[in-house]
Amino acid sequence: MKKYLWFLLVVLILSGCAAPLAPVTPAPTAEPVSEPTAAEPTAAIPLGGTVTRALTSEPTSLDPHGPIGSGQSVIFPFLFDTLVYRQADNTYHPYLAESWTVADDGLSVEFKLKPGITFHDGSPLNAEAVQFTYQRLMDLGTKSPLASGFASVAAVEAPDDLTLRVTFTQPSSIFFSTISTPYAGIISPDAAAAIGENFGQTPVGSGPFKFDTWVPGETVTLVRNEDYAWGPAVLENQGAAYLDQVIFKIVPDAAMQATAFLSGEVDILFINSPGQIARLKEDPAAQMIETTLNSLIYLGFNTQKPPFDNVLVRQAFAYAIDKQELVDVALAGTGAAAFSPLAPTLPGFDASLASLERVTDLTKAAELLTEAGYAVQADGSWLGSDGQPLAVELIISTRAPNEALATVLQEQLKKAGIEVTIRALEAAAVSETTTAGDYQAMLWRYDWNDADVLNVYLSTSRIGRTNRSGYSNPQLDELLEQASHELDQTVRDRLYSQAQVILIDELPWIPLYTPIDFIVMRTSIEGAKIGSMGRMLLNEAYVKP
Amino acid sequence: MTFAKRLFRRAAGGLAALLVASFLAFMILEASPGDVTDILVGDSATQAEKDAVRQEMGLDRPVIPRYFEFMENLLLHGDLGRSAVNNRPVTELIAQRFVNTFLLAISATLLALVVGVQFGLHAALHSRTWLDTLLSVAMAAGLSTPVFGLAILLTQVFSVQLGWLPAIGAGSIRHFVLPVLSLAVPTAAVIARLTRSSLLETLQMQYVTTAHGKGVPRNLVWRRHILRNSLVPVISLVGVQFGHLLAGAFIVETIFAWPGLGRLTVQAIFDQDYPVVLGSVILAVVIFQVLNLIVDLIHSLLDPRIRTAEA
Amino acid sequence: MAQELDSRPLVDLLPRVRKWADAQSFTQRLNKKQPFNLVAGAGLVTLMLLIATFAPLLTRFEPDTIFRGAQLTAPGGQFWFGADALGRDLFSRVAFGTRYALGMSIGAMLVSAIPGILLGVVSGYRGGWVDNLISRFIEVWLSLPGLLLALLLIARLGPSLTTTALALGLSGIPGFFRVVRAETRSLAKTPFIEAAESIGARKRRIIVCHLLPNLSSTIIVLCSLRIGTYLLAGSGLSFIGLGAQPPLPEWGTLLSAGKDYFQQAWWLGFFPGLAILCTVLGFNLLGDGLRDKFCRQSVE
Repeated sequence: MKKYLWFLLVVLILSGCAAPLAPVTPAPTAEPVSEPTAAEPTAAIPLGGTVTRALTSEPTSLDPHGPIGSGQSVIFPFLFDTLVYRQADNTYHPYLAESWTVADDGLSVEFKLKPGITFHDGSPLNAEAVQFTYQRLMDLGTKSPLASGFASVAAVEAPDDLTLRVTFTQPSSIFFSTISTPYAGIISPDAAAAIGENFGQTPVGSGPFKFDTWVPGETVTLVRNEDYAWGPAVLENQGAAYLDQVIFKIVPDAAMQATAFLSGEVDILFINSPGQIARLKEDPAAQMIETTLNSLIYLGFNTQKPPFDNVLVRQAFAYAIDKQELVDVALAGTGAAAFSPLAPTLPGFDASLASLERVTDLTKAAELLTEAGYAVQADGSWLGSDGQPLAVELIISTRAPNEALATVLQEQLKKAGIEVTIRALEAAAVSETTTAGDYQAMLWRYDWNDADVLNVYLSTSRIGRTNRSGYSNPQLDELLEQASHELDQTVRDRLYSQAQVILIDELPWIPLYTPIDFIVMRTSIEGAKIGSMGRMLLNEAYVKP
Repeated sequence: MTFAKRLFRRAAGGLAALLVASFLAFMILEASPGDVTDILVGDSATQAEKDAVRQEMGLDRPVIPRYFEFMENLLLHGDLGRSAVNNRPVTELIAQRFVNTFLLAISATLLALVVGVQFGLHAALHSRTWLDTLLSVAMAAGLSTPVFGLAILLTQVFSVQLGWLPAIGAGSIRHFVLPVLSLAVPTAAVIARLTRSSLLETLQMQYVTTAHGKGVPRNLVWRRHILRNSLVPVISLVGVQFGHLLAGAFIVETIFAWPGLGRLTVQAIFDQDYPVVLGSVILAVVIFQVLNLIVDLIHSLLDPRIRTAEA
Repeated sequence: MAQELDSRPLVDLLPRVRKWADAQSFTQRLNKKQPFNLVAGAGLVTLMLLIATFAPLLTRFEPDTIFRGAQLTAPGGQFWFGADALGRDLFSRVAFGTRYALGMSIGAMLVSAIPGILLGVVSGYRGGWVDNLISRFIEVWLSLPGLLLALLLIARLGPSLTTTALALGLSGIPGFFRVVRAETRSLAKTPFIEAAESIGARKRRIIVCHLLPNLSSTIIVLCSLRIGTYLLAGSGLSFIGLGAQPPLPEWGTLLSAGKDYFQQAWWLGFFPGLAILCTVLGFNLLGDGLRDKFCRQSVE
């Protein structure tokens, strides 16, 4: 009975989010999960059990300061704790730090750590250990994915055992989102010194699970940390986890992950392809938990090359594309059409700008193209003033569901007389080609934990690296720079709102949709929670007998 | 030519092949777009920052000296270096994976040998009957089946529908069944075909007729004349097939999440992880040379003509 | 013969190939039946060639046209092979896919065959240092075993159908070389070549007018079998994303897309798989059949 109630709740939440343009504030997916757990008397929770999660790519290293990768970022939160905990709704809660104070000028933050925390090797997790971790992270420079988040950090000090003070050269609004990511987990300084460069193969943290074994190419196994007593404040159970073991199985093929779930070899997996979603939805043993990675899929233009150096052409494309149809046909509805370059789940997203969205209108597209100097031909195609026909190459990476998206876009634009050819490349090649500016249009997906993503992808200073659009607008640069140092969320929201207005007008990207990704979990597992960026907490999870 | 001399010649040939193959691999990788720094540094690094990492890893140096340094370490110290991506020793990485792939390939080969020879034998014994036709069609079909399609079908039936066997991973005997079956089907078909035609050929031989004619017991004719002679080409083929399974099982390994050498190599090629790619190339070359040698030995045991030619 | 075995046991299969072919043809002569495999193989191959040529006439829809609301329609009157996840007609995708499948595998075959045959004839006929040089070169070529060379080339050039054809073709050159060289060597010892030499025919003329025509049966058989092999390997690469890239309706990519829908839409994987099976079977049977037929003539 309880199970059905639970299902009903999730279904309600899911349908709420699936409605196009609706989710102004994200549904805190963590809450419905916690309710049945809370109703359960604690004594009834069965201890022990093993949960297996499928990983698409093998971690390269389990050192949080090693290279980035989806494999390791899934495992880090189990092994390492962070100072603060970020919930799915992007609010911050005490974790290793029981409290913190931000100075009025925003130039320093002081964290008070919980007493009595120990690493898996028994050494104490004190302010010095945090300082060591942050320093190690900063020493990495650009090799660290958190480099930009630590860019304005002047110093990290440990005045006493339980106090950590971070000072800044200028206020940073992205510091908290940075230190709550899995890559900012605190590592044991003793172990790091003792193990040296192989730390990534035998990591030592303070998390709810300890590293046990790693069979390369096969599995990573973690076991319960019996001493754990410092879980995030949002949890009922801040003590040791109920599960004995968490196993990560490396299964490179997405379809085989679903197969392994159906055959009972894997209990948890992440899916984002409509095919797999449809396949597992039917299975009564599967709970589908919607996760938000604050993602956006967009059609990015190279604004330094014809034809997209002309804003009118970009706007014409926006009128020619039917986003809702794209979501319905290419994704079987597993996404929500987007109008803003910010994912709706990111603070700073302005829902009121929905009115600026260009509704599909081929007449308007034609008008804009004419205005841009293109002449319509007898067969409906367009000829530029330079005698070149309007034909565009769209670069996609080979990952699902890009092919489906590109095919539908190709078809929609064909109706507007625009010929699109699709070029599918390996993800690394897409990154390289587009960073070099050697393209016309691309499909891109970002998963980011802060509205600062606009700064990373669109500010002038990032041209030649992450600003693949080659887009440069001093007014936007100014707004984004200000926002990244603004600590007052209301002011920050206003700045981002202005930035969104500019971007919706000038369209270096056409935002297409925000994906609905799922974590699929066996129904026998209860009490799992999903935090921000798809991070999974199994501190309270148990397997129903 | 003595056997020792032949062994020496083969070893020299193998070493040459090793040098050339590793050099080829090195050069092809070098010319490929991007490098391992794309994986090591984040998306947001500038070219200058990437260059710094490249310099730190020594990737900015010209390719030839880097190749020589690598070969020097290998030949003088038996050291294949460490993976550029995860810093594990390459020897350790490929050794573990090789054992997995070897077990998979040897099981598939043995199964294919048993099934294939049986099929071929029966087809040849009953040649020109309905059984021969049936078996021949089965062989042709087995040879034409895409292994990846077969693999998916097997997992659906045996893992999802019936729930009898695990679909992914390694670790127990049960994990072997499906990947081994997928690999064995086409191999068995090839072996069966060759067994059949080789047997048919031998059965026509004068010496068989002679042996029968002079009254040698039937099973002795079979053991000493027919099987022995017709199995020589089959042994060669089994060697070749085993080599192909060792080097070419990566599709099946990917589908079944089998932690094998093929998957490691493919991943390393696309990560541009030179040390690992070179390690697997070198291992593959060595395996091929050793296999050649073994097949050669079996040949000379089975075929007296080869031994006499040596004398 | 023994000399051959001595230096390269694995290579030596191929002269034997001819021998078992002889034997097979012998039994078939006793048999006095039409070779079933030739008829079936030729039939299947012709069928596939016809489908490839007349794909636009055979299909009712374009392979890329999306039909709204037709997603995952089961096979039936409108969509003979059903519709895919986007609502595209699977029949026309598989039919047009024939072009890519055949184009890729025949292309790869040509890439292997042309250099393989030329080098093989020259090496086998000229002998001496030329033979030695070319053989060493081919050995070096082979030192990157199996698909490893193909994989490296794909990494270098980026995955695409053309790369796949090129990579498979290049890694297959030694196979052709060895067969042709061995055949040429045995042919060169036959009386009619000696006769041609004794009346002073030039080497080039002997190669073009005498050797190649007499090798043609072997070459055709080999080509046919190779097309099948390359088709399997190429679609396998596409299946794991290292070959043709979507939305190209190559059979391996179609099967790969179909595996996601195994439970709900079996036809998405079934028909492309069947197409691969039938085509490869066709070329294999044709190769076997041709071998039997040609060898019968040569024996008689």
